[in-house]
Amino acid sequence: MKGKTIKNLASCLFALFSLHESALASEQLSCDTIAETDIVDLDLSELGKVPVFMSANQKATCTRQAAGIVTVISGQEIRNMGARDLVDVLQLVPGFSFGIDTSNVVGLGIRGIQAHEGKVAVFIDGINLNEHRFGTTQFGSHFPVEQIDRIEIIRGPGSIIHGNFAEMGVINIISKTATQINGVKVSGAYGRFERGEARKNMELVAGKKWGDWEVTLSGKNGEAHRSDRIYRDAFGDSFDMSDSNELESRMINLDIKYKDIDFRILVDDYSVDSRDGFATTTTGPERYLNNRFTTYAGNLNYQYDFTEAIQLDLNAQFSRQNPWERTRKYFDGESPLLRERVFVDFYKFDAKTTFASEEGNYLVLGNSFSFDKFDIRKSEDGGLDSPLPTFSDYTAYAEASYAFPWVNVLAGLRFDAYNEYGTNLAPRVALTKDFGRFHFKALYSQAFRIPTGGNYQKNEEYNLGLLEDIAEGAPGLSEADQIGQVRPEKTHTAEIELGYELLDNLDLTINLFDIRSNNIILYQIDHRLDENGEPREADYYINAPGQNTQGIETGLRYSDEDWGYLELGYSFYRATRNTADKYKILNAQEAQLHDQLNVGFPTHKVTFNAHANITPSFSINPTLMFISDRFGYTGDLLTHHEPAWIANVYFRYQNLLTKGLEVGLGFYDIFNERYEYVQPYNGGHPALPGPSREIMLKLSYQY
Amino acid sequence: MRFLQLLTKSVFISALLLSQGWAMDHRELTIKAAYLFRLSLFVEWPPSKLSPTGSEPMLFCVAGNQGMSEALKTALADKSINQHKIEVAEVQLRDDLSACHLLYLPRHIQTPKPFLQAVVSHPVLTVGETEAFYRQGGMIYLYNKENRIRFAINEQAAKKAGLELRAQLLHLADQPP
Repeated sequence: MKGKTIKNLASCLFALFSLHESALASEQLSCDTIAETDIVDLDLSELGKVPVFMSANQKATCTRQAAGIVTVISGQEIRNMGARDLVDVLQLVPGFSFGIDTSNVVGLGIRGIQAHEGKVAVFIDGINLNEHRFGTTQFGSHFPVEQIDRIEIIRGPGSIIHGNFAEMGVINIISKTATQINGVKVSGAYGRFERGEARKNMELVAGKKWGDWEVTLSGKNGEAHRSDRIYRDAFGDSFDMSDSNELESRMINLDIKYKDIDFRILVDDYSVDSRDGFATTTTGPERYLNNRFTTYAGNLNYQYDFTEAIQLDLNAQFSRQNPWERTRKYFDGESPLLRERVFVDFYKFDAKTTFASEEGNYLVLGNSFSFDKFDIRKSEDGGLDSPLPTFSDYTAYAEASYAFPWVNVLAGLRFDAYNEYGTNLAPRVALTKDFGRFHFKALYSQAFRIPTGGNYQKNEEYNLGLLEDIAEGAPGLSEADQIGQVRPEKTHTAEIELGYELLDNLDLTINLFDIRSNNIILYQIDHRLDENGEPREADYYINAPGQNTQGIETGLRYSDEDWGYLELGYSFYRATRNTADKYKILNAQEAQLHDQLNVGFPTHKVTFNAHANITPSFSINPTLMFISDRFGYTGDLLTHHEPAWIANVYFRYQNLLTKGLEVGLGFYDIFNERYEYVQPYNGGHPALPGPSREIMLKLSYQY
Repeated sequence: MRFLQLLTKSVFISALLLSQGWAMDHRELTIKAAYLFRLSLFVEWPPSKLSPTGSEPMLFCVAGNQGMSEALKTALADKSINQHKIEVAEVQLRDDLSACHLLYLPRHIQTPKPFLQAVVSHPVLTVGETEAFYRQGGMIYLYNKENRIRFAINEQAAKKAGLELRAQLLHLADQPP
């Protein structure tokens, strides 16, 4: 037991404090699962101490070292709710909200702050799927769900562990292991809106263990439509989304593991068609725009145990991405026109050592080196034709935790030295304690968002265009109008979590947060006149002084060994500081109507998720979400969006007629509330219609 | 209209909350799988049933639930007891239950007696989850107490079937609730 305790602790710690993500994928925040997979290895006397249902307190004992506010969603829960994609899952997470970015690309906001552009890190099995050009991750029929073992979500700052893109949150998608799969599963889903096809997906999951070798392979091929409704732009032009705005996704995820060596390859090809356009106007009726996002990534990880308490962890990562490849396509078959293509190669090497004691104290020391290399193959007309610099980052980090009798204290420090953006020192401190049925966390963490190559490129191009316009005699411009490069954004976040186990299987958790961001990186569009007096738009990035939000999130979970579980969530935020007009709710006279609301975000969100077993094979799974009213913009016009109730129900029948055959039938947006993705900043893009009422049939077979 | 929608939604949710059934959480199943494995380490089957020096598989039979047997298979993949690799099979009453080394009767088997009678004269370790199982001659009773799985042993029933339970197992066992 002693050795096992240290080893488990070491595993947790490696995962929790590793800066390389492959360890995160396999073990991070996974005490829940570590406990479950290790249960079979416990001896009889230990088995009697294992709780059947993990209470918030018990989970806290596992996740508290993470020093974060954490949501863990199991693959079983995801499949029970009949999730069509990750949007269905993440919408149930307190504080999470989806909104349109541009051109039918939908992204995530967290706690009242637009996080889509480089502020929420998304990993699949340790591989970062944020595109490294602007930092975005695109949602909507993108990620497969059948292979998911669990999703571990940090609803707060994660930069110190996860680096850039994790300023506001982290989403770790962790696939099943070969032992868990132990065979092949094929799955197909077909969904229809009232006015057309919603989706058709095929997924494959395979895994097998042979001695010390483990191999898993999963893949997805899917086509979907964002909506079946009519999109209307700021000038009244419209098009039918049931015939357009398609989403296509293909993903392959292969993992080969031999003892402590783990090698993974991931290919992601996500393609978004759009007629809704970049901002206020739709494209012409004869054409549409295709944005394609591809990632080819590899991840090699090796762990070496010097002793049960001292472990070395080595990791190497590489990815080649081609994000936002824009191609104009024509309905009449005319040859497509490639508008922009930029490759980003990312390399990262990481080494760290962890020292852990049996009492639960530990020290992690590590360092890493990473760089992004940009290759502009095709730039927009007038775009940058000179190469971008290579962006490198050397990181050193340390974290220590000590358990005092009355509190566990964690302190961490991360130092980054960037070749383009100077140095940064970021600390975090956590006080946590579990008192039987009650637990608390008091957390402070600094987080950051470092400008990307895409930000750099845009500002270079802005200056280039400005100088050209000046040279060609455009009125009212001078060289003094050139802009500098944006600086890193910094965030200070304080959080408190209180949890109480009301009954053995009824947990209540309450979180309070206070987020203060400075030098926020903000996308801007400059409207000026060219040499002919024609209007010309030029986009670039600036640093705005800041943005703060505060809020509360609560979760109540009831589990019953007989009939299932029930979860109720509530989240609230308010803006306490906003220096960026783009995020303010301004009327036509530019008067601020609500100073505690940000554009695109609901003040209140209530979620309900239940799983009711009718028989051992058949379950009914309702989900319900209430979203309070939101404000957005259509062009310059402020728009108000009514509160929405989104109700889904999924009927799941496992082992129907024969072993391994599963049938699911889902009804989504039962009340046809027609949720809209409101742009969470004033970019002029009208709210994008989301999925309306849908029926989906899913079949899967495992053998 | 809004009120009607609210009302409909409330009814919809209430109906689902009231629906009752039975099933087992995956975590709970894993704990029970671990128990089956660990308990078996403290049991000696007669050589005629399980050769101490041989390597024939050890058959864990699960009465009547496909999902459960699949989950047990996953949890016990690659596990073996003294060179005997564990195999998990789903069984029905009509099957030859005497071929099992361990017969697990989950709690949805509300009438365990026919299963127990089918193996009464054979060295088959029976593990069950209902009081009726224990009362009617089952050998190891798994039950939930304070959110933990505990076990009670009917030593006489095991002896009668020709199984020897090691003292350590008897020491770790609890009294039935």
